[in-house]
Amino acid sequence: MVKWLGFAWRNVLRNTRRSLMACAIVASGTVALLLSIGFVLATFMGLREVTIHSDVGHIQIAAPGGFDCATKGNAFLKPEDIEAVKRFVEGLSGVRFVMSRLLFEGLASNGETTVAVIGRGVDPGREMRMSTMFAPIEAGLPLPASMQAGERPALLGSNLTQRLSVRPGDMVTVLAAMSGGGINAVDLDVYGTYRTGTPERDERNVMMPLEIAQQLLGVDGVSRVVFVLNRTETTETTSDALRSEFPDLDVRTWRMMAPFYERVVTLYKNIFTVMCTIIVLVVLLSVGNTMLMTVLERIREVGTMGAIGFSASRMRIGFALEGAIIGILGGLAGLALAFTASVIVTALGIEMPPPPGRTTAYPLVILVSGPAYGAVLLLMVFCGVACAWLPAYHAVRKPIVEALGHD
Amino acid sequence: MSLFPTVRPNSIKTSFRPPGEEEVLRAEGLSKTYHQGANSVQALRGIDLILYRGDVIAVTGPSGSGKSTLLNTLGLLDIPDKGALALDGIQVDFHDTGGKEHLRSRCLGFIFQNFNLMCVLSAVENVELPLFLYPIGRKERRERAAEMLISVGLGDRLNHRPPELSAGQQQRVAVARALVARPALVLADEPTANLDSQSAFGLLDLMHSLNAGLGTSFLFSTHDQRLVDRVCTVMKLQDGRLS
Repeated sequence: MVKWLGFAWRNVLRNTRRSLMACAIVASGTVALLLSIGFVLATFMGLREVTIHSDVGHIQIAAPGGFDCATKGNAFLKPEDIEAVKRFVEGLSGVRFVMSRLLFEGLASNGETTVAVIGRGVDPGREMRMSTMFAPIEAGLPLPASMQAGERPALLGSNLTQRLSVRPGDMVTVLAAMSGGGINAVDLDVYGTYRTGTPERDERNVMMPLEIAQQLLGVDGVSRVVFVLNRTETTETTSDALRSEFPDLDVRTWRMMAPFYERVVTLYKNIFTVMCTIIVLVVLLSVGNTMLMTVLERIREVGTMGAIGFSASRMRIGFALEGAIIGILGGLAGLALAFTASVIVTALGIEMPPPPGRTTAYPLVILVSGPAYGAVLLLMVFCGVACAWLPAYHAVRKPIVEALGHD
Repeated sequence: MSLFPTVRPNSIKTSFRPPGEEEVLRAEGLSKTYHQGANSVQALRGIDLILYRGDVIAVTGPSGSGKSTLLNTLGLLDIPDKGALALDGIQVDFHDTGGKEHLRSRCLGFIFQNFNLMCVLSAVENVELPLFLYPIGRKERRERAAEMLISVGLGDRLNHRPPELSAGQQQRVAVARALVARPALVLADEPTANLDSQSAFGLLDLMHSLNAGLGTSFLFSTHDQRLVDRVCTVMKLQDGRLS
């Protein structure tokens, strides 16, 4: 094989300019593919982590039916359930912390205007531990990590403050149905306004400390217990352990609670597949054209080799090796270029406009993935081999006498 | 049992003849017709031929007489319509591609009018090519190729590539390539057509000398009368028939 590689290498060098052109095409295809893959992977990873850390957490536990209707009386997790979960978590490695949330629907009023809202009682200290992006404040102050006696702080979605015509420092009244069926109300001090990232939620969200929400609803339980893990990759194993330990509770992973993520992944995968197909086709056609010229120029050589006694398959392998060399050289050059471009673009911190349905911009990151680099290099080698194989297949089938007489 | 008269004029002395007069090639009734639309040309009409080890034979004839077709058929590069062929005692199955490749690599050598050397390979690497089909190591392969090049007078041009050699030298490389695997028969189609007189005579002398040294049979086509005069056995091909 070494001797044939040497022979193929010399044939690649026979027409340096043409071979360089073919390598450049392969390199361009490699760069295009790797930058696309890097962008898509970075988007997937970024979206995953944003989804997890901005709101959902890695795993959530609720009472049966709690995910479908969080405000029903029997949909709350009881204090003994919460304690049991916390005790079990202490023995689980990989869990960073857990926190509770109480969700409800109600009305918010400034005395003149009343708006339907979605209320959320949270543990501000832990929510902030989960994400530095927790409730990004647009105006005013965040929720305090611990409350003073008599304090009734609340954060309002940025668009809700406009609808209610309130500002930080003003007061709003929030009404909600208690678990027993009665109506309760609480006056809250607007500490600040925040952005959720989606315009619809910015118009309806009210956030307050968990204790205040429990008082408002007259419950001592919570809607959900949220788990934050050290590593996203351990989500499935941890959720499995929780399911087997608490078969009566509803355990859901972030993927189950973020259908948006799956839709985005599917959409990007489809777009990428089309783009990848086009790039590979361009590479195949360009390199194929080069290899076709290479083979046509050497029909007489093919005839000579055949006359000497070389088999058709042996000659095809020779041409395929030339294609493989072009694929490897172009692919490696493309890998180096793509790596450099990825590092530079990521380091520049270019801001991308907010995606549809979101209100926050995000930095342009091109991920460098070893497996992707390996796969693209293999793909380019395959393209090179395929491009050489086809014309070679026809050339070596030509009758030897005809090949020897070819000009 | 031979069914046909062999074309070996007894009056002409061949150059080299080992004891036993081994048959290298036996052709019986080879016929070949080319069809082009409604027209057809009968290039070979029942060729019967026996070549013995050590024969040096020139095939002459006017252009279009079928010289190239005959050599291509005897060299297993073309398939006859009719007839049988045995090479070095082995019956040829013209439809067995693998078998023909094996026979070409073991029994035959080719010298082409245009030399047909690989321009990316040096002289010694070109000569090595047929040996790639043999289970021998790189060192032995290189030594045998170098020896053959030395024997054709190109010992000082081993690492030159074809474009760096003259036409006569390139044809010598082609001769060395044809002979390096020690074939029983070398077929040469107009080997001197692209050479000047001096190179052409040099090539013929070289073939005679290798014939004497190695016992290889040579069958070549030519219409160059100067060469024909210097060959012991001449066969004339006219309208697809040998005379």
